[in-house]
Amino acid sequence: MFSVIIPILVSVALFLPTLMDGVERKIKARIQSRIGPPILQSWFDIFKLMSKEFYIPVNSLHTVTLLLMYLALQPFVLIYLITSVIHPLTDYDLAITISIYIIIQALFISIPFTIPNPFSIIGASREIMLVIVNELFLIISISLYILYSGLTSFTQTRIVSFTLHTILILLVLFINSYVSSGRLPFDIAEAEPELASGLMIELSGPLLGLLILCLHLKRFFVKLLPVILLTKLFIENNIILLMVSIIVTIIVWILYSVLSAILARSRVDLAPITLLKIYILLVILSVISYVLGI
Amino acid sequence: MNSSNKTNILEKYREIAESYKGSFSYIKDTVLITVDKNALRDIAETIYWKMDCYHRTCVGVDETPLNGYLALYHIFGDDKNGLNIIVKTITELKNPVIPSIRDIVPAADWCELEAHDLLGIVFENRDLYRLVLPPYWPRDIYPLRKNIPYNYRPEVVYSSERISESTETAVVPIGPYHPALHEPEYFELFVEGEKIVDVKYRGFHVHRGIEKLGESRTTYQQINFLAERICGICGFVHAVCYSQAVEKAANIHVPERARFIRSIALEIERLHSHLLWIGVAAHILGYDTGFMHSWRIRESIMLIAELLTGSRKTYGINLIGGVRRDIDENKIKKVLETLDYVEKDFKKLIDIITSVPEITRRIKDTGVLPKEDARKLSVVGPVARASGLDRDIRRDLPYAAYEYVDFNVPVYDSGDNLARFKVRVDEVFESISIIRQLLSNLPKGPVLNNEFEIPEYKIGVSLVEAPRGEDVHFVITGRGKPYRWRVRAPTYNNIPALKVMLQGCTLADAPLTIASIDPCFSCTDRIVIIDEKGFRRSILLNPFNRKCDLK
Repeated sequence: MFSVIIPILVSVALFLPTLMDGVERKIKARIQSRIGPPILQSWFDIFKLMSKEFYIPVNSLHTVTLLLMYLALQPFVLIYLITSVIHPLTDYDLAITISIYIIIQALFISIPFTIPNPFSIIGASREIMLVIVNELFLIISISLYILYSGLTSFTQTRIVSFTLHTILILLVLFINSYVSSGRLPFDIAEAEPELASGLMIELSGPLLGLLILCLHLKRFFVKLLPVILLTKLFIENNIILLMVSIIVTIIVWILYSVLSAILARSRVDLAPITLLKIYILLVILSVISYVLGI
Repeated sequence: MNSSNKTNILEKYREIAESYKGSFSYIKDTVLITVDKNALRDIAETIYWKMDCYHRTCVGVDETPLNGYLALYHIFGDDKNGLNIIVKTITELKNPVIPSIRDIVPAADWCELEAHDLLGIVFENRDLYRLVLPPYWPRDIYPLRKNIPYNYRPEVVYSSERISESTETAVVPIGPYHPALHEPEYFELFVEGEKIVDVKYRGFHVHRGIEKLGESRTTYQQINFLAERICGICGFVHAVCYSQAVEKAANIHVPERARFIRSIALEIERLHSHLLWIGVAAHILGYDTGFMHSWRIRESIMLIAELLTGSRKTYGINLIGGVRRDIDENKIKKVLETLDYVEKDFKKLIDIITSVPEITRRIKDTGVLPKEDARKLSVVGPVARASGLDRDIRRDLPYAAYEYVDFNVPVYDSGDNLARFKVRVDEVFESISIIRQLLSNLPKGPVLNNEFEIPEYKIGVSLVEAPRGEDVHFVITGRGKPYRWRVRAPTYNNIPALKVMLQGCTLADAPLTIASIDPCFSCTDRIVIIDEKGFRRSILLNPFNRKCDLK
């Protein structure tokens, strides 16, 4: 059964993010009193970019090498997550998934540094500031989740208890996923008005198309992971858990779209500090409630 | 100002003129003082600092066909007393040297450079570099001199200007094409980390010699339409400002109803411009929802413009002597209804925009222009009013029908982006109120005076409060067309202030700070584009943009 379900769910997970990006554009358009593009527009954009000439930015062979590694790893981590929820790959799938994701993030922020363009480099330094705070608390919150629940793998048959400290740590993970998805107010690395797309400025054609596709996958992954951990509070059967998680991820995506439509862009000296304060507060509260047994 | 005060102030200017052995004359709201060039610096200091005047612009004029000299007119503004003070000085064509007043009047920096570029006037004691002309333009060809035909095409070898290099700071080029700029201009931001430590500006990429065209190929009435095409946003301002300058110079009566219609159209232009700006500011801050809704509300204003003038933009209703399209009762009713809706919707939008935390945090205390710098640079419009300078030409030197309406001039002291935002928001409500008053009290009568003659060699200075600040048109009348027509857009005076505003700012706030002066580079450069494929005879504007013809 796994040999049928896993490919189906993996295919859905690879197709859905770009479709959801189209849905997001439609939702934003409605909020903004516009009609907006068709829901499949993001797919059309990627096909269009793929049909353009292949262009490597000047003096950027390193960029292409790193980019290709990123393009390979981003789908891999998503496939790994989906497969490991249904069928255990190791006893430590949760930790491994996070580790691969952190490696991908490090790879991603190193790409713009190899491009000889000031906008790209400024974009990369902004991303680093944000990533340092965000990924640090991703590791902390996942570690605390493992501590609270005892889960190291998604397939362990255990329903996580519905406690305040778990809820608080899941809240951290959802904030974390919002920040990682690069939505307003945290899109400071791209910041169109001042950086003209920042870290993506020199990329075009198929390279840009593939990068955008992988960014959609990343957005899906960063939502799916906390949703799975949340769903674990209620569902024991892993196949149902995954299917419900995908549906919940779609809902979360829609909520994030609405949220990003009503917010403006932050600044590199404001966003990481604000995030840090929120994270510290939530983590401390979570630990206190855990110690108190709430 | 009552008549005794006016007599006193005029007497004061007469004394100043005489103390520098100059001549003094006065017509309506304009004082003309002619002095020897050696007295220019002293009289400029007296007028600018002791008489507390602003510097509007300076105008170089080739008067060699008239008297054998090149002339320079510095136009100062005594806003408190409702006067324009023109200080004229002349220099010989063979040795066209005039003392620079830039160190005394920093606001005169650009217009001196422009007079140097276009007329070859050499300014003493200052660095002279190309401001308007491209680097490859021949050194000894001065396009605004009368012996250079408007269609003169020099043989040139193209060369580019290089990006600055710095070993201490990183250079971030913004422009000529960049998402933050909607027109081709170029800023170099010297940054340490994300902090801007210095700024270099290079503009005038789209200068097309519109003044030369006006002085060469068009008639008085045609220039109204040419002037309106200077800007895609405040075009009507330019048309009215030009026609008022000619009307002043030739003492032409404009029917009262036409003056009301001009004011109504000007306020409609201000409304759509401010709504456009608020949308752009929201977009720059990443708040596209605010951008879209601001432009949605603006759409109603565009419909009003179409209803009243026949066009959404570039109304084409202004002529010397009045306007060529009247307003009827049905239209008045529709406009008033639409304004009610716009006012309500705009208030709601502003409440929402100002409740977005990132917006309030990012516009407060950023892009600060202190009052002293604003005064020194004679900045205009919302930029001046946000830095504590209480100046608005509609109130200080009323034109069109502004003397018949009551309105407040919003002034804030903080000089930051938030203050400039607030000024424009307040002005939207004031403009709605002004249009209501004008429509309610629209007098009956004709809208155009066709019976006039324009005598030669008369001077007219006209000011119009554009959405971005005071627009200045200077005209010396000629035979069938102006002998000299000078346009100074508000952005021309505001761009130099960006250096002050951007220094110390973060890179992230640079686009908003640049946008906060609501820059119009086409106005500043005086661009005009005419479709040469139309059925009308084509007008060759200038060789600058025609590569193939230059060889």
